[in-house]
Amino acid sequence: MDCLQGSECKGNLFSAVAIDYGAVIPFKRRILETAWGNFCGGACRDLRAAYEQFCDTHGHWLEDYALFRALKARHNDAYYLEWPAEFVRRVPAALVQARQELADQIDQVRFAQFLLFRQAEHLEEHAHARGLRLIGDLPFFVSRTRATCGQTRSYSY
Amino acid sequence: MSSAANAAPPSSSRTCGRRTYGWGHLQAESFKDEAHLDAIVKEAQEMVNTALGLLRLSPRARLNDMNDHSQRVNPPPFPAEYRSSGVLLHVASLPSPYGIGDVGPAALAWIDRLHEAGQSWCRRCRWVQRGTATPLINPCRPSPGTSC
Repeated sequence: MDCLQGSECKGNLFSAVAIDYGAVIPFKRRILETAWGNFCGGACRDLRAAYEQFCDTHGHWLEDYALFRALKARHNDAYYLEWPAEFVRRVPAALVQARQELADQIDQVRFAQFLLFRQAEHLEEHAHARGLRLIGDLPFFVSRTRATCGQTRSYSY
Repeated sequence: MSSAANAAPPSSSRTCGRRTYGWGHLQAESFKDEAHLDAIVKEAQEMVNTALGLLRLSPRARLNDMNDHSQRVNPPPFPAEYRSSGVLLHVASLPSPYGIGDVGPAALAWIDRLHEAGQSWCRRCRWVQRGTATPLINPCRPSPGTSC
């Protein structure tokens, strides 16, 4: 069984020429949530080992990133300096508690990253097999709305 | 609902570490432990050594290397004689029945199309989850992020 059934992706008719972010974002969030629910319910068992391997290999950034995303969602997408002070200052006890309370949301962020890496790696292999090389893109400036800024505060002022 | 991975304690990733050498130092900002930091440093050293080794090759040898698509591309500077082309297209701009382009079948088909057209490069813009609803004005200079 796949992580998503075709019927679970239906329900929206999108424009073919313009991106309606206001409609796409909740739609994508919903199907990622469904996929995660199916995965937890035993769908695509063959991905389980790869998912756990991914979480282990990428844990050094994924854990903080997933917590950041879950906290951002909990605070209605507010800029992180507007969150309660214990999260801005990254007080360890507050982070431990948030990890427990937001465990399911954190898992979903991890899972979405796992799916994206899987597809992107497949795309990269596909390109290299055809003699195409991909040029990456690294931002010059770290955005203040990003997890990296919150984790490395000593560099961020 | 919680995965087995969630049962593991939160990552104890460190945020700053440094290795000092005769010629300077390398600093890493996010790593798991000392062994991981050593691995990062080793990889960085290998990249520097590769780049230095390539600079010692003749321009002709470098050009041959660049045109051999079966191997990993050499880092810049590229040989002066090297010529190739590619296309910049944001993945969000690919056709999709789901409202926004993604790294699925349309992206694979796009790679095939570039290959048929004899292209060598495809620029991959940042794939960052977008937080707010903003119209796509310039697909490749998004701010602050890009949907995927």
